[in-house]
Amino acid sequence: MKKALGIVLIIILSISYYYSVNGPAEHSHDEEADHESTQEKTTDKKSPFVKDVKKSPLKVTKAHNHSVKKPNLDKPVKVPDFEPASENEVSMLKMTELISDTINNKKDSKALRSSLISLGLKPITSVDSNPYTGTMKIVRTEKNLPGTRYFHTQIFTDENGVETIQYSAVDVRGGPNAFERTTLASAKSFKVNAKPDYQKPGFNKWSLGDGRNLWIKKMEAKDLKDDPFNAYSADDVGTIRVVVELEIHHESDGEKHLTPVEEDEVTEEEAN
Amino acid sequence: MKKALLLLLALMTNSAFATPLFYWDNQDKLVPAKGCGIVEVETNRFRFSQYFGKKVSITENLRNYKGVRQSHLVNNSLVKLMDGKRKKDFESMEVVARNQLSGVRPNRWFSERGDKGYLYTRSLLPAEDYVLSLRKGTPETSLGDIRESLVGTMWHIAAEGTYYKLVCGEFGSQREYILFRVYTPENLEEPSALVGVYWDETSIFRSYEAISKIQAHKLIPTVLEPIRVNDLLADANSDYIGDLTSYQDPSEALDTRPEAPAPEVIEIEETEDVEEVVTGSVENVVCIGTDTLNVRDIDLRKVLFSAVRGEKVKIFQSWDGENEQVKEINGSTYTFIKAEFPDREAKDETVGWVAKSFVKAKSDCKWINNNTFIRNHNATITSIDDEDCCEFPLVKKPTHAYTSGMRKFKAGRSGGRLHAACDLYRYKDEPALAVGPGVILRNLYYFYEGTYALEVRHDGGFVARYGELTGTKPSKNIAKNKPIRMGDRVGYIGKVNSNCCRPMLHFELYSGKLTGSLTDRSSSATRHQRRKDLLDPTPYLLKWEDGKF
Repeated sequence: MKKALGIVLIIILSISYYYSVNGPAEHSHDEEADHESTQEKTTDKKSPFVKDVKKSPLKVTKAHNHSVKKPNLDKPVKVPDFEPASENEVSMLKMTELISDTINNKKDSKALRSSLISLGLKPITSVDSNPYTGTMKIVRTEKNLPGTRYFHTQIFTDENGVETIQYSAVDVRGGPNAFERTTLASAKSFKVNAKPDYQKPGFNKWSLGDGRNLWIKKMEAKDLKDDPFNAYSADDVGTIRVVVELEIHHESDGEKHLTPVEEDEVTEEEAN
Repeated sequence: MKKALLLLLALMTNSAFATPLFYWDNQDKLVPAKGCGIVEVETNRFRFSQYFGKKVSITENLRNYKGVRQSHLVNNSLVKLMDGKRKKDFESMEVVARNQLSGVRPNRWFSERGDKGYLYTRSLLPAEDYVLSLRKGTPETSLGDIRESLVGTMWHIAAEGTYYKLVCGEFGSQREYILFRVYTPENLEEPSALVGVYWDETSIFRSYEAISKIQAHKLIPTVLEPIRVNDLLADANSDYIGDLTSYQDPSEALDTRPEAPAPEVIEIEETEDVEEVVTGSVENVVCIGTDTLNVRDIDLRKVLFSAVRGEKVKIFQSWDGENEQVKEINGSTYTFIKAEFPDREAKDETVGWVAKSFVKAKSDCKWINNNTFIRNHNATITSIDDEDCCEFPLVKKPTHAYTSGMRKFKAGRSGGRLHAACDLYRYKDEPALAVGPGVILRNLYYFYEGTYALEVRHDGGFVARYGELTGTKPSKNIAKNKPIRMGDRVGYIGKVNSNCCRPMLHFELYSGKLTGSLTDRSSSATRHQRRKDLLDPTPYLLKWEDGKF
């Protein structure tokens, strides 16, 4: 009796596993609405092998999929509303809009310079060239809008003179709710959802869909300490940085499923 | 009581030290200690390392807070205790410099100057147990009128059951200049000078060999004798030490030392198209015809310290947009800006106000010799395929294979892009090493999610981009146009802001046949969005790794 029950259980589990792994194919978002009713029918269909099959209590985990999750550009984006509540926030909005405008309209360094001048910021362009890796221009400003500072853009130039903005950023003054307010302002400027694609405490990131990411971070002491370009003091911990840059990794790149590496801990013998 | 007596003696006799007295400043080198007094202190931060255990070893493990071995510290290396997270049976410290022990050939795993970590408490010996014999590589300066070079001099901390520190008018008691006796090879009978060394400014000790005081006694008879400070209070003719009544509280001083003459004012008509273009590096430096520039406090009244010509400067921008102050000094009007001096070791001498006209982009400063290109004269590599080429760029084996998964070259990335590098996983802040001799083409720049990259052209013509580094530079020699040798530290492994990835070195390789920027998103670029001479680093890394670990 027990043996028979065991065999039945194995069969049930096998069939359940079969249907969970080889279930109805995923549809693109365009097709989702049309196929909804079909999907429902499919999942209700009974197995031809076993009658009155109960749903497996087990959760079946899909094999790890290395494919990159593409940003869902087809879903309507709900750009948040943001109204500056202070002079500093007006500045913050202006600077994030400037960066967004520069990137979206593929502006070159000359056009960027004009945009900065129109805001009353005195641009300084450093041209760092060498015969082997070409030219990198760094555009910064001598002046800054209150509540923001250290605008910095890095532009690479290929052999044909075509410019690519690799990195563009601005610091925003820290304070209560500064991170949240900067998030909203940036989402509005870059026309992305208020909820980022990735977040962890003090860090929000969105994929902009053109091989670039937007991220916002509440800077800690270790972030500020060795910055090669910007001067900081201990009072500046909590500064908010807004960055748009070319993507190197995606969130699925890191392979979190990798087994942890054993670190060589101190043995008692070694300690003594 | 003894402390008061010492000070009183100095006051009453208005005496000065027969033995010349200096203090060490990383920028100004040996500075005569005028206006200074000497007080006793019970402790100091300096220690020497020594392996403690049952085996015989020439190194001790330098570990991080979690106990992971970071590097190997050669015995009798000078270290300084630091204020860090407390850890039972261990002390937080920083390496002042590695002991250049005779017969020991350093390798990539050895701790270097500036490395931080934890040492077992019993592996730390008192500073008076060793004498430092300064070697080539010591900053070039004379020992006053006594000697032209400090190389060959021997330094022993002054200890008599207590230590001594200098109290100087400019710094008050904020800085602890611990006294060292300095012996010259020409006169080992008695100290030729006394020098105060502040624990946060120790470039004087960057190259030395440590000798135990027992062994040093064969050369220096007095090394085992306690220093008798009273004996040094003898000769009133020496003018190295001023009367302590002349000691001023730093906050009261109004410094009226003149600034350099105001530069000629040229009126520039501002147009809408005003743009400042700097050709070269964006790095700013002190640009002045004299040797030093005064750095002042926020009120611009007092000179805090002096910056030297060519010293790196970062300019502050204030949150309210008011970045400048104007002040008239001695009849001339100056515009001042707030600046940070990031290459200074001492934490209390890094920020102040300077005259704006004396801060310029390095490439625009006529007072500095800007080498456009420096060839590594020690080059022995003629191509990337040379038998002697090259070194693996990490100190230890990567924790995960760089030949598979998302770490490998050509692994898929978003939008159809391919991975342009091999990702070498290790631990944050571990050194990244130059694979071969070469020249730094581009210093650290923002690369990805809070990490940085730099570009090197290696001898033989191939180019490498070392990416996802921290912003910490191993030395001032990591700068544009500076040569590097195979195995030199180019930086430290960083970690991107998100949790996507472990700390890693993102290593890109190019043949060097093309000349544009490495990142290339044009239609003629590769699917990696890189220049077309991008190479797969994998076979080279495997070759360089073979037999190393």
